[in-house]
Amino acid sequence: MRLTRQKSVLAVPQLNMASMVDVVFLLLIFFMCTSSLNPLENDISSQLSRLGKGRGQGTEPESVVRIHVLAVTGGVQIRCSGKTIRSFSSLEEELKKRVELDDRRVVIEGQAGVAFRYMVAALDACHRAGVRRVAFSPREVSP
Amino acid sequence: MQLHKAKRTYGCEINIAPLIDVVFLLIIFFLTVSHIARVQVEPLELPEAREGKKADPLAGGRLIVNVHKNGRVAIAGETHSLTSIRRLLVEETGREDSGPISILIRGDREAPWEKIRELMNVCTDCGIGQVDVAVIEPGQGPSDL
Repeated sequence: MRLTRQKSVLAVPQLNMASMVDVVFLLLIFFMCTSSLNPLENDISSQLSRLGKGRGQGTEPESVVRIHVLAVTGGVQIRCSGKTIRSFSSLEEELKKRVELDDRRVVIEGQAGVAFRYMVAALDACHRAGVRRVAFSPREVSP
Repeated sequence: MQLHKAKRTYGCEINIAPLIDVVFLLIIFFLTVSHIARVQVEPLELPEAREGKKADPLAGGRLIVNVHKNGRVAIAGETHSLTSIRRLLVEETGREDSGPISILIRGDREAPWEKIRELMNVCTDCGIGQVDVAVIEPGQGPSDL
């Protein structure tokens, strides 16, 4: 008894990688065209104050702390309840000192000509100081 | 006794040429969809704030209002006046099936405050008491505060 084995060569599956390179290039070009290097955006909530709008609101409640942002040459001037503040960092320190702000509202008023970033900086300083009842004023501050 | 095993060989070839067509279709689809979504979020230099909460501007079904440096107010790529925005908000708030309207204001850092203040006044007149303001983390843009 003789056993003979015919050795057979199994066909090895072959992948044609040339087309795969084209696919990779296409994906690369797609993501290069559609992606953009924009910074990630965050949101900051802002209350809208009705103080100063409408009828019957000529007298304002005394429990409101006003922050004025005035346009001056080369930047802005910041006032908190009439006191001039040097910078927004100082505004944050000033607000932290005022312990009575826990139950008082803070309203931020801006003068015409003030850039939006200064108003956002004032709002951010209030939030960093822990003041949550803060709103933008609907009226323009007079110098 | 001889045992002969005649083995049949099977070839295995993967034809990936149609895969390129599928990739083309996917590319065209995502290009189209991303272009439509990006029109709402216009390229602006946003102001900086540390206390902002991370959020996707396109999420939440909010009305996105872009205010440019020159005071131009745009919604979905179209310039709007404050009158048309007021009309739009009145229509939205007047609908019976509409829920609370939330607005995202994307203002350029050099946008004039009076324009944004007037926009906020329109929102207040239409019964909207709170808006979201788009900001970026400090250090991601020019800052001299």
